[in-house]
Amino acid sequence: MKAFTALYLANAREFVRDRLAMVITIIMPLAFAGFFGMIFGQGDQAAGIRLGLAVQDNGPLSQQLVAILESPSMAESIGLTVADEEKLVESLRAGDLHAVLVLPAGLTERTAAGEAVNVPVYYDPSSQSSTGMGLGFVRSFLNQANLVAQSAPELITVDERSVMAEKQNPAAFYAPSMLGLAMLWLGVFGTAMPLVEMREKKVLRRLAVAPLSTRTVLAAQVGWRVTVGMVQTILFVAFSVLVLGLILGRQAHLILPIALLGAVTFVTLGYFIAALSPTSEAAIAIAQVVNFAMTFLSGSMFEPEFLPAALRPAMYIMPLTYLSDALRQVMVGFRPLFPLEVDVAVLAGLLLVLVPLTIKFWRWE
Amino acid sequence: MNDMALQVTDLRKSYGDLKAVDGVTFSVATGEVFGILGPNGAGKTTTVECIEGLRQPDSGEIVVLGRAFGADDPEFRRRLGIQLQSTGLYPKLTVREIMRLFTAFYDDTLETDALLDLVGLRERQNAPTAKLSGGQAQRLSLALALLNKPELVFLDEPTTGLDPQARRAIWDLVHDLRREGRTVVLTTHYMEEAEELCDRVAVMDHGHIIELGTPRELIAKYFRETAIEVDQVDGLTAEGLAALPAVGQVTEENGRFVVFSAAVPKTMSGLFDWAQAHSLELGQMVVRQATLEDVFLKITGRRIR
Repeated sequence: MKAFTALYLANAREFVRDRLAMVITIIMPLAFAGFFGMIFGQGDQAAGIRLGLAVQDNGPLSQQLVAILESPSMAESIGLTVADEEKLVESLRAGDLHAVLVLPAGLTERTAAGEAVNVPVYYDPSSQSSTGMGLGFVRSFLNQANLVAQSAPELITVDERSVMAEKQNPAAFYAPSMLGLAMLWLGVFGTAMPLVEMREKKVLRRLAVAPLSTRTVLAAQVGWRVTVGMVQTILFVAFSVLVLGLILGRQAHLILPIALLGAVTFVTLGYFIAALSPTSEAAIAIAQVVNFAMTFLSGSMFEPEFLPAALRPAMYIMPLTYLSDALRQVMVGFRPLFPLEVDVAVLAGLLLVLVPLTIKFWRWE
Repeated sequence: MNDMALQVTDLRKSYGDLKAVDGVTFSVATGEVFGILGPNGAGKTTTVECIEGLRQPDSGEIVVLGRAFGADDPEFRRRLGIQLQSTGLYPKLTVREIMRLFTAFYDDTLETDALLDLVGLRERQNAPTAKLSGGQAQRLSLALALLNKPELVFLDEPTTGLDPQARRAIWDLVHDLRREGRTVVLTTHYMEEAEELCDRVAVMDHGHIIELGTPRELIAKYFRETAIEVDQVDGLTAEGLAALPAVGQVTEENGRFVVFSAAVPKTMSGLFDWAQAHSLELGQMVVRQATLEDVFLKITGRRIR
């Protein structure tokens, strides 16, 4: 126990004094989560759709429509700019607006006379948010305008219900996924590479002739790295709630156990890579390949639906897919890719396969 | 159980076609300082690493402190002190932290401060091990091998690459170990180190022990003569020197003739007479004992380095 504690502390000191390791394993994943969370999180919120409105008609219908657009409930989802048609089109070109709606002169009169009126809507086909959100919003708004124009009662209204436990922003996808990625990095960059370096610098060799069992040496190293994983998890959860404004799901109590399983599995994967790598050059190469494949094919960097169909099967063989999926489910109640039990079974199964393989191929020098 | 600290019988280890250790047999008595001497690639380190359990021998028997030694036996390792020829330590830990780390592996250890003083590293105790000079790292490595008060200490080329002062410091430590009655097995390719430190020496070459005995025995066996080193000057030839009285052998090294003489006064007076007769101005002359280096040259026909 004395030897274990001393080795654990030695590993801790080495890690804490290694700035690069700290940056890669702790700060970088948090920065990524923050980065993605902020971009996508802010974008869809509050002033989501920036709509330009040119009012050329001052009849009651137009006034009514303007009132709807300016109402507080609308202000939540659109940012409205009222100005001249020309000016607004300029802004649209400049990318400041998503769409421009013109209420043409005579709108009230002509609709009242039962005449169909063409309402000009400008959009920018080169901008995804313009064609998607901008045009989409205006279309649905005009449907509503038709009803208003006909003074028809609103018989069917929309009752928005989120399938997620709580109303979340898109950071709900990124924060848990990045935590999964952090566990991968802990294993690949935080474990495999330092181990191979220790082997090359013959530190492991010196430990091999000390009165230590292999078990004690490995337990101290794995133990410290799993500790790092747990600290990271706590930082991630705190960051997600306090900075990204996420609301924890109903299974939040499972975050630590799932993260623990993930940390142990990926740190073991790191040992396996170290066992297979004869030199640190080989370790770097293997680590890069594993990292690249898992990062992009595991549906952690972007939602799995965006993966081209040809690459979809690759997703199923990436262990990170299952960890990220499980973390998304328990952390924010994100829609599952697989049932939680499947995620846990895959990770635990991988661990059970890796341990004997790693011991078989392990070399002190 | 007996007074043998180490018994090695017919040890063999090959790497592919290379027979690194080819049937080595020797034993080391408790309290003895035993040297394994030989050039690089002679098989010294492989022999020692097989004994330490770092390498699996192909065949042969190794008995350490009275019991067959297995590689993974933590309890037993507590009685040994091992300095490896090439080793690394956690680079970002300080000297003191490393010592405390290794202290935690044992029950009965030397006090850290005393050990720091012993190896002269107290001033560097807060330096990260990556920042140590070669000599300092070697002394730290030695300290780690000694901190558990081992019964049997293995030192693999403890002074290679060190300056004379650092080498002296390590020699003093080995002398201390001998005084305390510990058994030391050390490898070296420095003849003078083996002569200075070792009670007995095994001379290794190409995986074999080619000679084994005390340094004095080995020298006496091969050289009943004394070496006279003479500067080379014009007119002085190896043939001329070989013809002098009581001369056994003449070799050349570093611009000097080495004349091995069974009777120094006879050879010397012969040399002076001959110089006078030929009007030769003789240069510097040194009379010294034959060394292990001379022995190695004589047995193998090669210099050790």
